[in-house]
Amino acid sequence: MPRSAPLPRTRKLTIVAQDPSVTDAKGKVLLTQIEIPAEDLSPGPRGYRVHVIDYDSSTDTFYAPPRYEDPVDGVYSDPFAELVAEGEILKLLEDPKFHSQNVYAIVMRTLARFEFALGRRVSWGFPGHQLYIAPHAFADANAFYSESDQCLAFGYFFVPGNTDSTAPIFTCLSYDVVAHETTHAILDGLRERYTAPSSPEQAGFHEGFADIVSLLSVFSLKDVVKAVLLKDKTAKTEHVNIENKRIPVEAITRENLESSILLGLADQMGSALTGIRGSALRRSVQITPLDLDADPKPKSYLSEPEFKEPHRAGELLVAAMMEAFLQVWLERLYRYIGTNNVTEVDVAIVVVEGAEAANHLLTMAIRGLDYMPPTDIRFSDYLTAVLTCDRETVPDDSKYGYRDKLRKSFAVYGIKPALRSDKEGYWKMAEDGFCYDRTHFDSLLSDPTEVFRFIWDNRKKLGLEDDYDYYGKAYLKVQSVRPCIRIGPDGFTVRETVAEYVQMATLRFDELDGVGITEVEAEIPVDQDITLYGSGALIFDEYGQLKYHIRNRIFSQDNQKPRIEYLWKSGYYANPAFTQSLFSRMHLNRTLSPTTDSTEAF
Amino acid sequence: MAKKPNKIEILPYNVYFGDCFLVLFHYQDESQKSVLIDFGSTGKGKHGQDPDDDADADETLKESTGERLLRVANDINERTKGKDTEKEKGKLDVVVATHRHKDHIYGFGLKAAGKIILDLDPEIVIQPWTENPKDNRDLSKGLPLLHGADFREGRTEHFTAMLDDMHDVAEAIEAEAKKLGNSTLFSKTINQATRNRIVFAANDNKKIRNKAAVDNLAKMRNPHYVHFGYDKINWEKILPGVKVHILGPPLIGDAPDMLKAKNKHDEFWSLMAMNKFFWGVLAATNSGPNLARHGRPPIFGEHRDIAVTRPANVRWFIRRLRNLRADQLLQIVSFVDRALNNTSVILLFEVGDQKLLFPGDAQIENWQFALSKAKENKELRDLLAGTTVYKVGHHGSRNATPKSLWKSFKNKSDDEIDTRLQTVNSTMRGKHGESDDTEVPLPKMVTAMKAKSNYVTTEDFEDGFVEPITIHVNH
Repeated sequence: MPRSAPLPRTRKLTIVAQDPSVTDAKGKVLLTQIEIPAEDLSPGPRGYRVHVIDYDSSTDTFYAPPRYEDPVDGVYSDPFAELVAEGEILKLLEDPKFHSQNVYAIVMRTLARFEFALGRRVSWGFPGHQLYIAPHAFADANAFYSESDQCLAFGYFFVPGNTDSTAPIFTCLSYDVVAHETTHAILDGLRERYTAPSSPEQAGFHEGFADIVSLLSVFSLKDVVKAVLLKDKTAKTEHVNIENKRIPVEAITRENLESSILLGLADQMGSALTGIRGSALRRSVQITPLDLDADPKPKSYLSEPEFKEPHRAGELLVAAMMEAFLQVWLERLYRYIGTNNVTEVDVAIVVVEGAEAANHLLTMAIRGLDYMPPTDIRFSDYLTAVLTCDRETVPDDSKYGYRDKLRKSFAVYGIKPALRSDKEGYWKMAEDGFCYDRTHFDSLLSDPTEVFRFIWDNRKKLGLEDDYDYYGKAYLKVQSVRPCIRIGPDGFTVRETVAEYVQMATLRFDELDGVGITEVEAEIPVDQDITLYGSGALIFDEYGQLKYHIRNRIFSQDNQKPRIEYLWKSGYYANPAFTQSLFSRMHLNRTLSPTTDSTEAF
Repeated sequence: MAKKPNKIEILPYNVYFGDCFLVLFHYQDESQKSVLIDFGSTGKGKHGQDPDDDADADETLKESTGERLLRVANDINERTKGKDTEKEKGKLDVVVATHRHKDHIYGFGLKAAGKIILDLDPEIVIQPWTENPKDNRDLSKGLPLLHGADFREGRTEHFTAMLDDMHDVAEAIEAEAKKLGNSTLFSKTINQATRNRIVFAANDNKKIRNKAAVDNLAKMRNPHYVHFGYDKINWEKILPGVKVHILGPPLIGDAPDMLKAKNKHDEFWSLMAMNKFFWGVLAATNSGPNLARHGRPPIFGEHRDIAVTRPANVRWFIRRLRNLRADQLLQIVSFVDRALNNTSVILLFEVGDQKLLFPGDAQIENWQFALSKAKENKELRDLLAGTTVYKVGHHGSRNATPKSLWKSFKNKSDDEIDTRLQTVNSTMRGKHGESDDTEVPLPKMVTAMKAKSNYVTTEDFEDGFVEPITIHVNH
């Protein structure tokens, strides 16, 4: 029998909009419906990318999984919609099945967001296809991604002095926590070496990027922004006329947006959750932007000891992106005011423009990943990557000036484009004249071996021919070849292929001089093996021609000297397994993972 | 002329695993002053065993921990009588309880041994500021990293309440780890070695209420709750001719330098370790009516799946999650352990040409403050560098003798010359650590100390007693 209609592509599910501490004007926990990819779910829910297993290891309890019905008349139901309609919010929040749905929906939305931005399927950082999720994994103020366990684990905990001390706080009910942890899992799938010890910036990137994705995702939820703006009059929202839901034009300033939205949300987002990873948003907003007019060459934040701490470094990245978000939002609002010639702006317009700004920046932030070198990254690389990738999709940026705003926002936090970029802060384009004669177009777009052939044939031109005769022989492996399709504002698609390779060379400490890595200040035994990494991302255009070669040279004094010194200070060479485990734990819990100055350990 | 000691005797007692040092300052007129630094033990049980369970211990060590400590207390009584050996009771001038771990204060709470020490009527008792039952500083206000709103308006509890919180956490963790490792409850249990490590670490810290010991210490007169630079003790009266420098723990809230270096990771760590809210959350999460005994009730009891077997496709993950939880418990309990170690009092006694350094179990984070001060202050730098006797920190673990401190000791020598540095370690092999990197005492540290100093370890005198280490003082 022929099918009457194609299967639905999406479905809507109810979630807690941010976390149970964000409420509407009437004090009710704010819920919302989000649209996620549709699929026929098994009990769990268990779908094609995630499998929720509600097992609590602290009490050895396995909770019965929720079951989902097949679509009726081509529509999937939202099993909790009825309770919401009846106003039974408390009942909903006390149902572990709803918790399972909450995490499932947020993980799927975050994943879909990445796939939308990148124009392809995104794999996890482990061999399986389904990520396990434990919404009540243990009794602890903690939530994390574990690659080896192929899971996201969310804890629950109690707060002393809470009015109802028997009511736990569930990390699985916080949108930003779930999106943050999901981003760790996705990023690990996209760039597996970003969790390796390398520099405070690399260690901070995972945290900072996960925060950027989670925060911009929250700001793209209109219900949340609206609720924060229309909260009962507080010092932070006093410029909003709550009665008629309008904001006078003169009150639309960067400072007001920052205090009402960024700090307003920071204050509301489960303050109890700060036990997990602190309030990244608040601490980011509190970093003072540099006054570049007063001092055009200020000292960079990143060179200060305070920002050598990875989480703190990550907050700098968040601060830069949040600044860009405010600037884009303002620009959009000014345009609206200018075109409509109004003296007051409806809160709904402010909310929509904010959500649009967040959405657009989120897409840019995710797309930039493809244009990053696969190892030893710096924040400057990220800025350059985001700018370059955006230029490829949207060559004309004159409408809202996203890229210009990004450049400026990053600059006031001391992050400038990479030194290897051109004067506008874009990666330099690849030269002409590569040899394609012995490679095949189709294979080059999907086959790592074919890409390796291309690299081999062009190794001199790519600058990969050994610079050093004896020691300078690095192993090279193509890690991935990923086709991607992006839709530009003109409606046409931009088709690209992103291939990544990694280079490795293990030398004795006293052999480093032979590859130009000198004056390394570290007390390392001369016969200690030191593994060096180099890497590159090759971006091929729609004709299979190399467009960009974004690389970190392996035998580079600038890259390797600080890296080796940092690894030594972290205790890596004395005890690699331990340090590696410290790094992988670093994202679990800021407090429990102190990075002691290991140069002082005996 | 002011009275000055001309001889010092140090007695490092073997109390199985634990610290107990008697330091006697002898004067020309044959009088003496005495200082007892710690009186604790976690017994002789081997790694992974309950320290109270002496039955499993090495057969050659017949004496129970209590018996051993009683014998030590009697010896302290004898030695503190001075020249009048006929009198019934000795006299202690100073008691130092470096921090609240059982291996440092357990003996103070024992019925007979504790009473003997109490009857020695110490003039003053020194403990870290964190033990002050009246200290009520709100560290959350001094935290530069976190906004005030990050902390709920807590009840104004005394700081020592945090130690109770740590106790609750350790107790609950021990119970949970035992349950996770129980093969009658789980078809496949967690790794036994991990379980043992958790139980072992938790056990020491679940005793941190150490009520009996703390109560007895509170009965002693003139308590001083000290911190770096504490100067409210009239040392000349108590130990004539001895200058006592207190180098730790740092008083976080009041040390502007600590706050200036805000957000630097090590200071951040110390601040969090001293954070009542943090421990409050852990304690609130881990305590509950009979939680330790009966286990934690499921949060959604009515929703639990009552089937005996679990679907095949969830079993792998459930097993992984249990092991993941075990790792996490170990991490938390190690944090408790370290936080408490870092409350250790660090003392340096300066007598003529002798400098005796007793750092308790202070780890790098505690040391960092004194060491950073020493960088700016030549006098302090010279003082530390001139150390003649070093009580090896934390039984010889890798994180308690900062490399830069060890490097700075100028009395280290390859040759057995008169002025060679004396190192004293109270330790017991096989209790802590498994690999070369984590073993206590750390093998490479012992090697270095043997090569560069006169190294004495309590392991060398299993019956508990040693001839005093005698040091002649030149003025």
